[in-house]
Amino acid sequence: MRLSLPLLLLLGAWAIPGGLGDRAPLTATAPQLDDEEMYSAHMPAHLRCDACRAVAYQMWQNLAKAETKLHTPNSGGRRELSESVYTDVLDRSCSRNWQDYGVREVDQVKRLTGPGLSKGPEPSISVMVTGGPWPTRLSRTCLHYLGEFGEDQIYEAHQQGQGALESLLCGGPQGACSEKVSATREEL
Amino acid sequence: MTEAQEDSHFYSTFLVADKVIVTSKHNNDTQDIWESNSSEYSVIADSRGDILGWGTTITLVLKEKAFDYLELDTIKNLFVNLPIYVWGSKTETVEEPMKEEAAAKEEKEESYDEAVEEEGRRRRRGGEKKPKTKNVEKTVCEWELMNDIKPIWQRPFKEVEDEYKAFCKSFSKGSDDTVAYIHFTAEGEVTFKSISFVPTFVPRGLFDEYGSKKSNYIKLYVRCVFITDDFHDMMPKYVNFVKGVVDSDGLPLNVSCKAVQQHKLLKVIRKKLVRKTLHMIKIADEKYDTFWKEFGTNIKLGVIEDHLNRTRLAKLLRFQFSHHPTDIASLHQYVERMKEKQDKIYLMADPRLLKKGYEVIYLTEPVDEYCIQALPEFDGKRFQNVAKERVKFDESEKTKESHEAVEKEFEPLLNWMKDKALKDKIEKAVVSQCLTESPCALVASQYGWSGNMERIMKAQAYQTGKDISTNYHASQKKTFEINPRHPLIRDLLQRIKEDEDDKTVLDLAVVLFETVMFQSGYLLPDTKAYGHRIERMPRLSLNIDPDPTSRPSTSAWKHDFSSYLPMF
Repeated sequence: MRLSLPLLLLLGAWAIPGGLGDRAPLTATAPQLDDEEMYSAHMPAHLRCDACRAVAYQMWQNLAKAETKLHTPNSGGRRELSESVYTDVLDRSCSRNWQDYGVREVDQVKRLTGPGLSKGPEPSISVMVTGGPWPTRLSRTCLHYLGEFGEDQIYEAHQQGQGALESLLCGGPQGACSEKVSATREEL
Repeated sequence: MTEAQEDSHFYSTFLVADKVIVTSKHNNDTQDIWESNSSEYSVIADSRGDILGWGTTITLVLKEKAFDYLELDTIKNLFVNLPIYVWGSKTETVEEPMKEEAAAKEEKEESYDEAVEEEGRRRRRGGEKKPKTKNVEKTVCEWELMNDIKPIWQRPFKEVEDEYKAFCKSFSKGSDDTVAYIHFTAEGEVTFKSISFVPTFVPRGLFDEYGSKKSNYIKLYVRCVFITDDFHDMMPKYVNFVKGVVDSDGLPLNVSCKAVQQHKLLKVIRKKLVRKTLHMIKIADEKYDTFWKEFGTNIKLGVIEDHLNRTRLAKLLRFQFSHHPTDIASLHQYVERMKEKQDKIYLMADPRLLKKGYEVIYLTEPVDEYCIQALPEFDGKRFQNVAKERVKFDESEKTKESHEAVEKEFEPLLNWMKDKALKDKIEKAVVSQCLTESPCALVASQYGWSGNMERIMKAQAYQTGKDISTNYHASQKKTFEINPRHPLIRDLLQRIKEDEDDKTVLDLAVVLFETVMFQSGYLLPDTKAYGHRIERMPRLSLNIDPDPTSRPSTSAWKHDFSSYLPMF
């Protein structure tokens, strides 16, 4: 609830290499965040799908990393983590720092951006806002999913692949990325 | 048991004792004392003679680090198959036969046994009148069974169904009954059995040093061997009232307390225990109301603190609702009773909402608002606090037009308030659609703090020493709503039309604003100035010059004096 961290402005300019002399100058503006995006204690509804995907990605990545650290795969070549290990890994996935995630505005649509979230071609230049309330919101989103589904179910889905984990957390009729939710958000 | 096993069991006494003394009867009927400090031993004849009669006594002179076993509580928590007795004394009231007055004193010095013998002799003689008796307090020494808490969690559920109540009572030293209990076996990497329960009443001092005190309500055993109950956070703070036993097969016995707590397996046990506890509370059914009365605040704190189990905890919440003000109901029940197209859960009362048949949640406790704010939504429905950002209703064209007309009429007043009288104090001034009797109201923005929240946050800041005035929420300006039908407001409109800079009118606007701030629960930034302004109001109504520096009588006095001056 306390928003004591100042918003950090991170200028991330990705310019396409090549002769700039014969191109129009590249411009990008910082996303204009509304009241809800700036001050709400919770992840705004229109960014929940992105948040869910970020959480799924982090969980998958950390579990996969832990699995490769296992010295001996058990029978069948599969490396399987024990319950205490995957419980611990998932806990750490949620309590990580999340500072590498932020918000940017592309084609007047605000999206969460960070590891595991790039979909489709990247814009040539963009401005990302990180810090502030975003790490707390992502951490809480992660804990929410962990509590909803439980470590066992999440690990089972992970063993079936990254896609299975993402669809467990974010898909389905009530999921954050379901069709209904991805419609433009209504005026409050 | 083989001799070797006997030996190893015997020598295990040196784990806790510096010296072991065994007094036993020799084959030749003499009594001997064998004494050893583990490195050497001696055997001597017992100078007391044959006092044992039969059997053996083993005396352990305990090591300092094992002094814990001198505590009765520790012995009580030991689960061994053999009963453990402790020689203790207690006072009890016994009936003592009374002789004639002359021999009464003697009787008092008689021991209990002698008195009983006397009685027995009398009875054998038969036919004699039973002597009068009186009640006397006597100290009785006897063996008391210590480990009467039986490890019933080890046995199958069906077998011990009738024993749970007794177990819970002996666990909490016979203090009170239970509202709910659960006996389960958790499987997985580490298997553990547990019985946990919720007492009927809140333990004393539950919220003293909330979260910092260690509670010893959960006892950890490994294969029936007591390990520890000295945890810092076996259970999350908000469920620190749950008592019980956790017996695991998989934890290592020889770890120190701290290591046990950080052990990954214990993390798994903890998570499962919390989930089962919440499940136990959920299924309390007819006893739920009793539970909620005692521990409702704990559940609300859980919603605020435990992000992992928040959804589960939200289902356990109970509130008062406008449709049934005397009962409490769950959020789920509210959602079921919602109107067809209603997609928000309304908090606090708005007369228009109630008139249209919408049900509203009443937030009656200070923690309620904090708790609801911690929930992003419930069952897909968001919360709307109608004390902030009024509900927008669909309006007919006619109503819309009349509202617009009123807004136009009061536009000068609204602008004057925003730009002059209440400049920098408010975000904006608007015409209210729901005020009926009050002249005005103050509305926080959706993401700002209500007066209640502000007070809670300031109190917290006081405790932690942080300065929250720089906090966004604290600095958020509010929206000032005016009631166009109120005579005070209408009068104000007239006055500012005549003279915008009238000091009295400016003051009045500020007084109205600060009064309504006060009423809404916000803290006034400058109470002294407020006091002065309030004081000026009665002066005005009594036609006394509101300027505190003027003294009406002074000029008259001066005049009188000056008329005497020429005389001196």
